[in-house]
Amino acid sequence: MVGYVCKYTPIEVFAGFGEAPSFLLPEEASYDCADSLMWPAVCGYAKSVLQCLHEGDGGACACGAAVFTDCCDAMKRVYDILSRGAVQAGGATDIGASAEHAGSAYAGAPPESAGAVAAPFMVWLPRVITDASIREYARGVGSFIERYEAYCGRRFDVPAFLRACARANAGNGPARDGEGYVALMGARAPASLMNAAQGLCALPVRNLTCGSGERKFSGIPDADRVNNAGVGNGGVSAGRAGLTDELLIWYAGELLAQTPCMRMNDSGARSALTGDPSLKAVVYHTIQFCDFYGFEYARLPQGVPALKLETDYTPASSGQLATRLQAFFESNGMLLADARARAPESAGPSHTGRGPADYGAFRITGNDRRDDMPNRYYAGVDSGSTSTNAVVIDADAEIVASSTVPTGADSAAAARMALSEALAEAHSTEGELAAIVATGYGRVSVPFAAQDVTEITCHAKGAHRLAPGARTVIDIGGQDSKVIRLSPDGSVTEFSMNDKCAAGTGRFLELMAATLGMDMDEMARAGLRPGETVDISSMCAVFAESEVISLIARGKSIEDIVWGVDLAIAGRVASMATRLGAEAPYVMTGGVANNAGVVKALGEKLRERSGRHGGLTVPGSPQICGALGAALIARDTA
Amino acid sequence: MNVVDFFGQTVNRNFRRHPRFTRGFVRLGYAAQQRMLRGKRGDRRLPSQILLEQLSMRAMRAPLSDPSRTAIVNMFAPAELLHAMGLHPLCAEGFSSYLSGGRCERGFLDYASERGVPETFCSYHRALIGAVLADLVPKPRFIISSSSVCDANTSTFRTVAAHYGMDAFYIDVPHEESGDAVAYVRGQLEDLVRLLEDGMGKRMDEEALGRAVRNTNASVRYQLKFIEELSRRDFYTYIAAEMHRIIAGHNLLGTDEALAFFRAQYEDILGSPPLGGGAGAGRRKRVIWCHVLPYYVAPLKEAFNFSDRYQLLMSDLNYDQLIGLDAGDVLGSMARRLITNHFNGSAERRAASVTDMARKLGADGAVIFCHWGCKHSNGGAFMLRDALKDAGVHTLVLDGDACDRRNTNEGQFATRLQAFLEILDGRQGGAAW
Repeated sequence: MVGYVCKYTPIEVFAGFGEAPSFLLPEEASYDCADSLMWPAVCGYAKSVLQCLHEGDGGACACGAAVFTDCCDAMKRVYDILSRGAVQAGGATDIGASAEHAGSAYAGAPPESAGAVAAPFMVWLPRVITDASIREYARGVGSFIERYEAYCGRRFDVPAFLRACARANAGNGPARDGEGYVALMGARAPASLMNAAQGLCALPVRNLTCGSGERKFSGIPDADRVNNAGVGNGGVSAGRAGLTDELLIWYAGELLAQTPCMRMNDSGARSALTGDPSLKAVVYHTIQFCDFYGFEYARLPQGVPALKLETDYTPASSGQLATRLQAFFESNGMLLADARARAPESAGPSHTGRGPADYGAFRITGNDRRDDMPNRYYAGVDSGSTSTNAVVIDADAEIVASSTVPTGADSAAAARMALSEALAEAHSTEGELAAIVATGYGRVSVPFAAQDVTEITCHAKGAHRLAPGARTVIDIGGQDSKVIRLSPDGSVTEFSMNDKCAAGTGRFLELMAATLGMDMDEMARAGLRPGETVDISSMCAVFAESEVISLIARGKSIEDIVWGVDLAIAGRVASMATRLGAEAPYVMTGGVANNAGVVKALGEKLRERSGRHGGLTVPGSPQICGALGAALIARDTA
Repeated sequence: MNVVDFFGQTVNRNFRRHPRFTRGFVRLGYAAQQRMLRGKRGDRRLPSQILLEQLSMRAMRAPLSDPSRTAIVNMFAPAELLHAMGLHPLCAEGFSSYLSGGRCERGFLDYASERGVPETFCSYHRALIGAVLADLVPKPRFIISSSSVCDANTSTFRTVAAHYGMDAFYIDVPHEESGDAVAYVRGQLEDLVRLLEDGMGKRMDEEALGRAVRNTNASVRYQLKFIEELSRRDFYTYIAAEMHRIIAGHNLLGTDEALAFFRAQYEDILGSPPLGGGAGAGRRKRVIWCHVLPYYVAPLKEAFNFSDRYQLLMSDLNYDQLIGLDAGDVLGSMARRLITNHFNGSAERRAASVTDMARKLGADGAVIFCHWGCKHSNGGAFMLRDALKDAGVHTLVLDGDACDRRNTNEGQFATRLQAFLEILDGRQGGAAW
């Protein structure tokens, strides 16, 4: 088996050596090995491949050889590192040898075995498509065939290669004209993301990411008529046995004629991907530090709903990705019915491992609740990273009671406590609840809720209730921040979330407060009394912490530093709002909305970006907005 | 508030709503800066360094004033062809450096990010995109870039071209030198010449091209002689000068002004003291730099600017293409220069070249700077470190951002740099990162 990482790789050639191609899509839980070989701030996919091929953990990377193209700078370096490792394993470690090797690193014979991958190969790939570039690529493919022959000791079988081209055509399956579908586009996506999308979406999901796509070959020469012992004419085939210039140039041209990826200079043909009338929505995947696809996302045509998901290519963020996918499909009416109405047995144990039986008093299932209860009230529970909120409303959608408790380590227990407190305030009991909806990061761990809905939808619903004219919800929570655009009727039109780092979240404020030795209330007040604007320029919370320490050392006042912190978090969130095309009036929700300094800073930043004064309001209890939305959904859907 | 802060704040405050005013203000600011670049009493800059700053400042001003004779380019676009056609190259990295120097990069970086440019994208390119999208940069006559050396070129120049509604010319550069590869690139350069001729409505002036080639070759000769002298002399310089030299050695290569600078630089080093003969006690520690320099970081300036303890020798961005052009095959030799540039191709090629540079210059230490968003350079940083370490050169891998101040933590930077210099002072072994 031969591994490869790019769709332009001449994989049909592998069949000419009796080898099967294996597209490398490793999902590595850790990059400890890759980070020791390569500067960490590069794309997670490249690091996954490096980790996998270097460590030799089998699985996704169990291959004898791996063929790279210079599909991006990061992948070029992965090849460099793997081939250098091989050189060192072979004993040629002195600089002179390295320098000598450098002259032919991409063209010479592959180095000997190092780690899992026996031989890394590089095939240079043009970025433009012209007759000259096709010839140059054909020359590279011919050179690769020659090198692979030398590596494996077998002759290249031209008819087998051509049969593989024919099989590729047959493998594309019948055209699916007219069938509505959702496209997964952008940078290559791990299988888990594709599976999650397919598991949540009512429509078929097609993988159109950069590593995928149909391989189409037209005008395939007849395998039976190709003389395996034919001799090239000394052009791009360089006289290699069995190869002719014509054949190599045909093959190179066909490879380059695929739907271009974004690293090709002319990527205009990609517009066909979004121009298909059967396309109903786009889930757009980008990988942190792989910048090509962020550009395309910014220019996606209007009219097709699109969700951007940025990952670091580790499985760590799969839970958050599922939240976003669910919210996206939910807001576009594409959510699978099974995914919306959670069956009782699927509620699952809490984070601490206790099962649903522990919450017997609150187990209200979709089947039995209406028969047993007076249906007076509806409840929403927002299980957030820092706090858990519960709201109880009556049949007229009026808030009867609410509560907030710290989430702590046991999110299910916190949810139970929050609901208990709210019910106590309402002088009610669980028996009077007609329906409970859970939301927030811990929503799947609220076993007594009959339904879970994402916080995106719930915040929109709650915010529309609290501030009916608002067109944009800005929610800064403990672990993430969100910007949600609303239609005039309060439904979600677009949203954006930041949860990859602390910057722009309540956690950032907590870290800064700890550094300054203040509690959150003191910090909220201090930000309103600045004398001078100081810059907290770091986007990274860890760097910002050192910056704050430096500012203290330079004698800046605490008030000025706090204001600088407020402006930093506000700037981050305002930029996210601008990117989303957010419009006033804005409503700010989430716990951070209780911090008057941040609210003031955010107002200034939004005004700076939009040139409009005012337009940012904070409702009375901004932290219960998500729970309120959940309660309203419980009422509407009961 | 000092004048640079005032300049930066004025630009950042106005560019979104008053782009024309901002463009005029930037032109005015650059013109004022040009006048302030003259030498003054107590100035430690050498005559060549003053000349260098003036010519690179002029290179930034011209495109803003004369867009119809401007080409927005990357660092490796063949400069001689542009100069022979009377064009001003506006280089992405150089232009953004000047925005950063005027403390107004942040606004344009944010502006680009707000329009979807990823925050992990090279900050030089992001700042240029922001400035273009915000209409700070007037529509040029040409846009020219190459696949060499980094991925950012493809996305940046495509975005810039789309904004202006014009085509960008792209030079596709193979990794390895061969007759076929040179012919492939030469063919593209022939197309470029035709594009320039059509766009300017005149034929390439052979005499002007010949002069540019002669200037380049003389400049390269002066640089090689300078390097030879640098290996045995104490040359006093500063961080920003090394950045300006990158402009002179790439986008201004082939001009009379660049040649005048390289000649003056050689004359200046001939007047410098021999090794150990400087004002400091004993031999200065000699340090090479890999990649761009975060010229604004105070601890870096304190360590190296005209220092009697540490000598900044050279960045490898000034050592990447020290080869002349063949007057009999100008385009072919330009093609060869693009292909064999040590930033093109494998990381080992660069490592071998940088190691060679360190040996020639007698470097005690090397700093490998990982500029935020540069996957091309950062991906091979550890390979470079290992090669230098094997050659006996103490090496520090530092991360930060030479354009966007927000991505550099000065405190951490200072600690790491200082510790590295302490190692050099103590002649202790090992690498640092």
